Parts: sequence; structure tokens; C-alpha cells
Amino acid sequence: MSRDETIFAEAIKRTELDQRVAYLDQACNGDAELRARVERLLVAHDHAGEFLESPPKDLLLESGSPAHGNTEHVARPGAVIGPYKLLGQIGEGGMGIVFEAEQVHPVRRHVALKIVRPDLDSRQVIARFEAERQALALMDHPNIAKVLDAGTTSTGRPYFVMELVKGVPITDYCDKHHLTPRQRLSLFVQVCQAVQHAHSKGIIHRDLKPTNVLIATQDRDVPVPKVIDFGVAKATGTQKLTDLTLYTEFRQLIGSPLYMSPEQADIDGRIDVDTRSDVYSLGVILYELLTGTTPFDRQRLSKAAYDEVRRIIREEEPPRPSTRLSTLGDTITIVSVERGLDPRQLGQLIRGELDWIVMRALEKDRARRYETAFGLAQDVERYLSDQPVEACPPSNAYRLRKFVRRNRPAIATAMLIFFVLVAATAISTWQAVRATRAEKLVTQERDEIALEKKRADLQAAIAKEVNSFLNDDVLRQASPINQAETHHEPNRDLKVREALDRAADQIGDRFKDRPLVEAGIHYSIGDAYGDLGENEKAERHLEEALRLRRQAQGEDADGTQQAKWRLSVLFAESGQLPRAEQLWNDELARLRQVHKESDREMIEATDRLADVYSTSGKQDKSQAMREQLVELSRKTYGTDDPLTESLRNNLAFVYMQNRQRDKAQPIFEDLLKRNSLDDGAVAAIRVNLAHLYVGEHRYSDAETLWLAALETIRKNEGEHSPTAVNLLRQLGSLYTQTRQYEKAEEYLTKAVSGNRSLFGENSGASLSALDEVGNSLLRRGEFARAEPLLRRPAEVGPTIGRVRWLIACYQYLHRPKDVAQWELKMHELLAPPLPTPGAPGLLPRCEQFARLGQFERARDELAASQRSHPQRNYEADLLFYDMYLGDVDAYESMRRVMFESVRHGSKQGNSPWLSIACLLGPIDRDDIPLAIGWVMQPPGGTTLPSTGSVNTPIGTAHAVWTYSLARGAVEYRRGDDPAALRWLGRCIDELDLADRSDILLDFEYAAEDRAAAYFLLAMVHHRMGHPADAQQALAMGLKMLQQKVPAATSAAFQVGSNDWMTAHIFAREAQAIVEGHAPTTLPATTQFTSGGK
Amino acid sequence: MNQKPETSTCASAVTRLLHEASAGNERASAELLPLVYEQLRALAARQLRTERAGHTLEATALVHEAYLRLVQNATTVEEQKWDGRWHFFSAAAEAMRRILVENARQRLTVKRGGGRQRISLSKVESVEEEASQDLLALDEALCALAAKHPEKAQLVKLRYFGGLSMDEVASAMGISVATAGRHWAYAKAWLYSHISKK
Repeated sequence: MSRDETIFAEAIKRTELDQRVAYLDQACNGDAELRARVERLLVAHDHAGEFLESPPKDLLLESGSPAHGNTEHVARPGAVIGPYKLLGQIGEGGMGIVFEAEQVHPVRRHVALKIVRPDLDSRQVIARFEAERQALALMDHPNIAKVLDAGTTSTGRPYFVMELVKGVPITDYCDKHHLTPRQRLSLFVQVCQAVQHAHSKGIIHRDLKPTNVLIATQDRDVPVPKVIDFGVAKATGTQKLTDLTLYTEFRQLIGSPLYMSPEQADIDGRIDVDTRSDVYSLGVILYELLTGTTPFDRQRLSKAAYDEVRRIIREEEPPRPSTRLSTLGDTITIVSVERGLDPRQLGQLIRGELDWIVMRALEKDRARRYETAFGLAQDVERYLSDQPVEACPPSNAYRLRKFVRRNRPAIATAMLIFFVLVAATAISTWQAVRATRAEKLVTQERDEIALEKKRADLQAAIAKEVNSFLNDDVLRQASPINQAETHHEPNRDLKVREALDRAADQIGDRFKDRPLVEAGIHYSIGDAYGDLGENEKAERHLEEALRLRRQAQGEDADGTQQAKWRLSVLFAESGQLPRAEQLWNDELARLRQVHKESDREMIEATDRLADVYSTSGKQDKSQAMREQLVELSRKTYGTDDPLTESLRNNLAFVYMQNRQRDKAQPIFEDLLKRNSLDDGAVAAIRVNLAHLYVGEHRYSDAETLWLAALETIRKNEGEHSPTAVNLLRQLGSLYTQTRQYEKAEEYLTKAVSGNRSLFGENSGASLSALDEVGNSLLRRGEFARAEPLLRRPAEVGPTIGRVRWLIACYQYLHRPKDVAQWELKMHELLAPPLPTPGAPGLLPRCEQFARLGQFERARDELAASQRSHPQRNYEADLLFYDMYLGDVDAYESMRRVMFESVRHGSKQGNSPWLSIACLLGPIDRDDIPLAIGWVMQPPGGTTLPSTGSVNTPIGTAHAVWTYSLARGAVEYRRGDDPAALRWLGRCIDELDLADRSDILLDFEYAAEDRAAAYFLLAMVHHRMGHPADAQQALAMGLKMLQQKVPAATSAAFQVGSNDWMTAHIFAREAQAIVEGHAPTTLPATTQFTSGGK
Repeated sequence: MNQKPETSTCASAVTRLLHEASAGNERASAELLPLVYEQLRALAARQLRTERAGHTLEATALVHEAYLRLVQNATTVEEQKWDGRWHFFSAAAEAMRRILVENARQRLTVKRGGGRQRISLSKVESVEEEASQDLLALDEALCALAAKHPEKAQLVKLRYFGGLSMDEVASAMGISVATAGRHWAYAKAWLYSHISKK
């Protein structure tokens, strides 16, 4: 070895510069030339990097590609790759560059072309690139950019072509357009659904952030979110994406730290990232959509060292969104303006449910996050439709608030329901106190009972007067119908407040001599304002109610205590805990002057205070207090004392709120075993316990309890008491749930009439009960009867649920115009998921799914139904869905089922569509006879009639060309090309004739079938070696598809999607064959729903 | 195209030549080269046709595939122990080098000489041009290295064009892995320095 080599070899062992210099000083020993030679080599060594380390690939090709170390882009604007001309670079990701490109052939459109970065064509990168393409190809969702094509450049560089998404990041879009939080949430729900779709395909995005969620405004300025860049996507489960093991080599932080989940930040990779990581990132996006900032400060993360960043993500608890807003300083003004609100409103809006939703998505421990993106979406939808969200332990007050909001149009009746709800759904303190009072009754003299009875009658009379004032004078004006009559602007939100304001105005001195009625009205109005969050007004009215009742009845009266209690709840809910506490502390102080701690009055008031705590979210404190109270009462009065029992009921109620069913249940059950209780208290406990049972799906136990409670309440309060009516409804719902539809109808109908006579026709209670009757009928398949019942609530107070059922009803009734009309409404209210597989009319419903772009869902529901009811005939439909979705395995096995039933003679028919269903993909020669039995008999006898013949009846033409199409498919699969040509030609001729003779009806799918015929024709020509004809036929088919066949999601899309799917399935196959793609099972690569001009 | 008999004829010829080469027959080594060269070209061409959409074509992967087709299948287990395969890889590495260099030259010639100016020269082409020039520069440097350090140049050929691992290179050349590593580092630095001087 030469001296140069020895010194060089030794020097490179020393990686520290000073060590190396010291070594060279010593080794070269003043030989400047030697040192210069070695130093030159050392410099080269340090710079050489990957030089020569990767093999000289690509250069074999006729035109090569850059060598390693070359960071130039292969592709530049103006370059032509396959049929695509690159226009301009629109993005650059970790491993690919995205260009906008123009496709000229076979269709002219603009697309996005992603090509692997030339400086990064290592095996890993190519594998990841390929994985992204596969991942995208697996997906078919309106909110995910579709893959249209894939290939390799002449230099061997892989690329793929996607639907071009012209959009801006979701956060920018929302800010620029000043979208309100509600509008933002609706967009966000769609994003979640797209992510869920990816998850259902076993794909985790892993880099969700606003710049990967673009908002495209395609037509009519409707913002459509599109999730892009599945570049670091990872497959889960058994899904095979390219070379999964490669990822284990990539122990680097993939994705932006701001949106990264704690488990992704765990560099040791101890935790395998799963779909819940995306849920976290969605949570960050939601956080940013609401507050304009990310949970962790952008600047702080960008300044922090790498390990510190990881620590922050893994360990630090971010502030709640509302807390974050309050620390924004001046920025809050901008943030609020961008959300169309003032700072105070924004804070108020976000505090509470939205805080909870976001924080649940951002849980460090993924087991505590939403299980799925869908779960997150659902909770946001719940928020949007004013239903209780899942993200927090639901407190009674919270639920009630939601209930009232949900029924805004009929708010004033809802405020009456307040009592009903408390009584019937979960009886809290107030009712329990009644139990103690009842105890007094037992021990008192008969005349006192009579007095009490009189008082009850008086109360009933007052309630009646209050109701009539509110219903007739106020509510009537609040319903949309009456509003329209009086030429008021129909505005739901305004209306409620307006109605309340008017009610408040109209009190005047109308009730001068009836202070208790006036107090009742003030109470109801104050209560409703409270539920609407108009806390100041609520306070004013409740204070007035309290004052009047105090004056008329004294401090100890029920009414006074009730007003005091409601006021304290208001304070507790609006975050004024000290004021709420003070009310009861004052009360306790007052009582203390005459009572000792263990006196009943003191214990009762303390229980009220405990209620205040439970309302303001301090359930633990409330629970502790009540545990003590129970002990105190037990010691003082004994376990059998009604006070102890009512306190135990209340304690169990807090346990329920705290989700400690196991503690609540034995208490309720024990209370029921006692004989000492007044039957009203027993009823209350039964109602509560029944709720626990429903939660455990113990429906028949719940039923027994409710029936018993109903009996008691009817006896005590009369047939038409609000509590009784509400229980009727509860029972009706239970019967619907347990599919006892006749009983359900009976009980619900009674509830409707009860509510109508109590609260009026348009009251929330009446409408909800009506809803449920309609729903129950719908489930029984009695659509015509269900329709009017469902329509009224949907018109008066549209909610997602109501409109959804109404639409389903119209679908079953085949009233597409009504469907379309209500769909618009539904889109306003958000597109919700639909339950109950196996209900009658499933097919039209699945077609509705298809229209919403949810083919998968349609397929799943059909499959579930077919599985549970094998006698149904959904096999052929499933074949279309399976093939359209690219699920070849499912298709194959369903085809087997079809063939088996043909063999056994259990499926017969004469529909060409059955054959087409079996011929959507390649087929075994032996199976062909089984697949074509359905088309061997031409329509109209042994000779096929011609469409052109005189007076062709409507439908015949369809039959003729469909038959020809099916024969074309048969002959093509059989390999008889000339025969296939004849039949397909015949099919197209028939279609031409039909076109000319103007006999086509809208529902005859001529365009779909024509496109399908062209695609088959293209494949036949291709096989016969007529490339030009094949190309032409393909182009014709694609043109039909693009110009005449409506997109599944368009309004023109018709019920009956098999023709539509057939056209798309054959389009895919023909493109693969004629254009020479490797035959893949890419789903829906041919959905030209955008970009075509 | 019916390639099967052709390949097997070729395979037996290759095996025979490898035997002779390992027995010290210089002429056999010389005859081996064109045979392997043709096979590699054919293999590359066919792969290009059939694997249109897919992975990039790696020269070194081709060499290995050629080895599997031409040598391994044709030899018995006993013969595989014999180290004639290093002769094959030497030949194949050399063949691959020539193929690549020819391709690069051809590409540059076509570009400059041919009248294909119809499409304006896009960056795509100029990048390819650079790559071709890089390869030619490397080849030139390799010749210079071979003049001074033939063993190191041979090592680079085996590793870079033949796709052998460091262990394989070491055993092919009959040197220790450590020495092979040192040679590789030196050669790399030398070549890099030589190319960047220009």
C-alpha cells in the first residue's frame, strides 16, 4: 500500500477535525505535496456522500435519467409525459412533485400529475410512492382526490395522475370567507368522513394538516373539502401496500409536528401508529378551525429543539380551545371577525361542548380519544343538531339545555316540558323532595291532606292559565306558518327570542291580581331564556318569579323554593357558581337561625346546594356532599325514613350522572323493595331505574317499570298529566326500539294527542311524538301513512333526524322530486348516516347512498340484508356494487352464490341484467352457460322485435337494446368476437332509433347503456386487432360517460344505479385493455366528475 | 419470441467458458465477455418491453438475473462451490459498464448530431444529457484510476457495475473485507476528486 493510501485510510478513521489535523501533521511530517494530495482525497471523501453507492439504474434505458446526486427535476412545465402535458408545478411533497397537467387524449381535461422526485428514487421512496398510488386507488370518496391513471415515464420514473384539486387550505378558506363556527364544523364533518373512508380501506393518512385538506369550490361556490397527499399513508391490517417493512426503516418524524399525534412523536416507535393518530390530527385541525391557533404554539415548536418538540407533543396538556381564546390578546379580534362573531360570542360558543369534543380528540392516550374519525364526526354532528354530545359526562341540565335548543321553534312548550323531562326522564331533587313532603302528608291529618289537594288543584289551575297564555298569545306567533302569515321574516333563531320578548312585553299588568299566575309566566319565560343562554334576561324573570312567590306564599313555599332552585341552576350553568352557592348559603343561614344541622329543612337545602354543584360540573363534590347527607339522615331519622330515601335517590342520581351505574342501580333497586315510600316516589324511582335498564338494553325490565310508573302517575295526577303523557312517549319509543310496532303506534298516538291537548299542535312535544309515530310506521313499511306524520315536524322544526326520515319515506314512495327537495334541506342540516339495514325499500335507499357517493355503504347494507335474509334477491345488485367498488373477491364469491342457485334451479328469471351482472368481469369458460341462461330468451318471443317498428310500446325499446347489450357481453366473454360485434352494433342501432323516435323516458338510462356498449365494443375491437376502432369506441364511450351520464352525486342521477355502475365498470376494463394499462382493479378511476370541459 | 433454447445454449457455453477461464484460459475469459454482453442487452431490452409500468430497471439487478439464468441453473451443486462465478461477475460488470457507456455516448450523439430539433429541448432531455455526461466522466476517471491502481478500478467495476456486496467483492478478488473497504474508500475519493477537478 502506498503511503498516500495508508495515511488516507488512517485519517478517515478520525472523524473529528482537530484529531484528523493532528494526525496529518504528524504523519506527513512536513511533506507539503503528500499532505496536499491526501487532503484533496479527504475533501473528496467528505463530499462524496452517496457517490457510487447506489447502482447505475435507469441509464440502461434508451433515454436515461439523471444520475445520483442530481437534484434537477426530470419534469418541467412544457414536458410531455404520456398523454399529459405538464403546465406548472403546484406542489412538492416528501417524495413527489405535483404538476398541473393537461390531458388531451382520450378526454381533454386538467389533472394533477405526481411524479417521484428525481433525486430520491431509492427503492424506499419508490415503494412509498407506489404505496401512495395504491392507497389512493383503493379509495373512492367525493372528498378524496381520485387516482385517474398511473404509469412510468420513458425514463422509468413512476408517476400517477389524480383528479386536479384547485383549492386552498381549509383554515385559509374558512378565514377568508369568514365562515361561522357552524359552517366550519359542517366542512370538518366531511373531512372526517373522508378520513373515515380511508380508514375503512385500511389506510392511515399520517400527515393530516390544513395544507392537506383543501377546499375546492367546484360549482356554485359550494365548498367541497378534499383530502390530499396520502404520501406517508400507511396500510393497516392485512391490506397489502408495497413493502410495509420499509417503513420500519424510516424512524424519522413523518409529518408536521404541529399536527402530529403523541404516538407519532414517539421516535422509538414503541407504539404502532393506528387510525386514532389521524383522529388526533383531525382534533388539531378542529382546534385551529375554531380558535385560529394550534394547540401548541407554532413559534414555540419551531424554536424548540427536536427532542423538546417530541416531549411537548407527548407530555404537555394543551389548553382548551376556549381557554386558548381568552389568552390570545389582541389577536382575538381578528379571529372573531373571521368567524363572523364578536369575541364574547365566540368564547361563549366554544366553551362547553366544543371544548369537550376537541379535547377528547386530542387525548394523549389514544384509548380515550374517539375510536374513529366517524365517531368524531358524529359528535360534531350531534353538536350541530343540538343533541347531547358524547364527549362529556352528560349532566341533566346539559341534556335539558340541548333538548330545548333542539326544539327551538316551539321553545315555550319546551320550557313546560322541562318539568316533564325532569319528572319523566330522570327524576332529580325536586321530585324527591316531593317524596319527603308526601311523607308529611302521611303523618298529617286528613283535612291537611285536603288542603294539600286544594293547593295542588290551585297549582294545576295556575299551570293551565300559564300554558294558555304562552301557547295562545306567544307561541302561535312563533311557528313558521304563522310567521309567514304575518309577513315576518321567518328566522328560527330570532323567532324564539322574539316570541319570548313579546311574551315578556305582554305580561304588563294583565295579571295584576293574580301574582301566582304572573309568577308562573315569569318563571317559564326566565327558564326558557336560561335555556337559550340569555342569562341576563333569564335572571330578571326568575328573580321576579321568586319575588312574587315569596310575597304571595312565603319563603318556605314550594314555588318559592322552585324559583330559587332554578335561579341557582342558572347561576351554576352560567359559571356564576359563587352566586348560586350564595343563594343556598343564605337559605341555610336563614334556616340555621331556627334549625339545627340535622333538621330536615337544613338537609333539604344542603341537598339543593349539592344540586348546584352537580349542575356546574362538580359532580364529585356533589356526590361527596350527598353521601354525607345520606349518612346524616340515616343516623338521625333511620334508613326507612322517606327523607333518607329521597336523599338516596338523589345520590343514586348523581351516581348515574357520574356514570357509576353499578353504584346507582343497587340503590334504586333497594329503594323499590321498601314499602314505606309514597307511590309517587316509587314511580319516580322506577322511572330513573328504567333509564338505567335501557342503557343496559334490558328493555323488558324497563318496560315493566315504566308501565308501573305510568299506572301510578295516571292515578295520582290524572290521565293527561304531562308526566303521564311523556311516559307514554317513552314507552312508545321503547316499543319502536324493540320492534313492537303496533304497541309503539298505540302509545305514541296517545302521546301525540296528549301533547296536543296539553301544549298545542305545533309544540315541540307534539311534533316529537308525531315524529316517533311516523318513524315507527316507517319501520313497518307503511310509508304512505308515515309521510304526513313525518312531514309536519320536518316542516315546522326541521332537524337532521326528521328530514332524514322524511327523505327515506319519499324514497320508498318513489317520489324523486320530494326526495330532491328535502335533500336540499338535509344538506343544509348536514348529511347524516342512516341506520336500519334490512328495512323494506332497501334498494332505493342504497341508491340514495350511491347518490351521496357512499357506494360502499350501499353495498354493505345490501350485503348485510342479503346475509340475514337469504331469500331476498339482492345478489345481482351486490354484484354490481362489488365490481364497481373493485372488490373482486366479494364479486367472485357472490357470483358463486348466483351460480349455485342457478344449478339448483332456485333462481330463475329472464332479465338480461342478471347476465350482465355475472359478466362484469372475466369468467371461467365452464361458468359461462350458468351466466347466460337469463338472456337466451329474447323479449317478445323468439324473434327480437325492432325498436323502429311502428308504435313501439314504451319499454320495449329498452328491453331490446338491453337484451342486445347483454348478448354482446355474453359473446365477448365467450370469445366470439364477430357475434359480439353484431350484438353490440344492434344495441347501438336500437339506441339510435330510440333516440330519433323520441320515445325515451328519463328512467331508461340510454346514455349509460350506450356507454357500456361502446366500452364492450372497444374491447372486442382491441382483441380483434383493430386498434384504431378500439380507440374510437373507447373515446365515444368516455364521451358519453362524461357528457351524458350524470355524476352519481349530481341531482340528475336517477334511482336505479345498476346501468350506471355497469357503464363505469366496463369503462375501467376497456381503458385498462385498450390503453394498455396493467389490468388492475382500480375502483372508479373513470369517474369524470370534475375537470372535464 | 422463443428464447428458451437460445438461453440454454448460451448457458452451457457460458458454463464451459467459465470452467476454462477458471482453469487459467485467458482466451476463454475474452470469449465470455461478448456472450454475457449480448445476454445482458437482450435481458434489458425484454424487461423494458414487458415491465413498462413498474419499477425502474437496475443495471446491477440485471447482472444478477443474468447470472441466475446463465450460470446457476446450468451448474450442479458441486459446481456452484467452485469460484468460477467471480469470472462471470467480472465479465458481467465489464459488459454492463460498456453497455452503459455506449448508451450514454449514443444518447449524446443523437442529441447533438441528429436533426430532432422539432420539440424544443426540455429540461427532461438536458437532465438526461447531464446524466450521460456524468457517466462518461466517471468512466474516464475509472480508466485513469485503472492506469494507476488497476485493482481498485476492478473493485469499483465489480461493485458499481456488477452490483456485488463488499463481502462478495472481497472474496471475488481474494482480499480481506477490511482491505476491500479501504480500497473502496480510497477509490471513491480518488474518482470523486478526479471528476470534480474537471
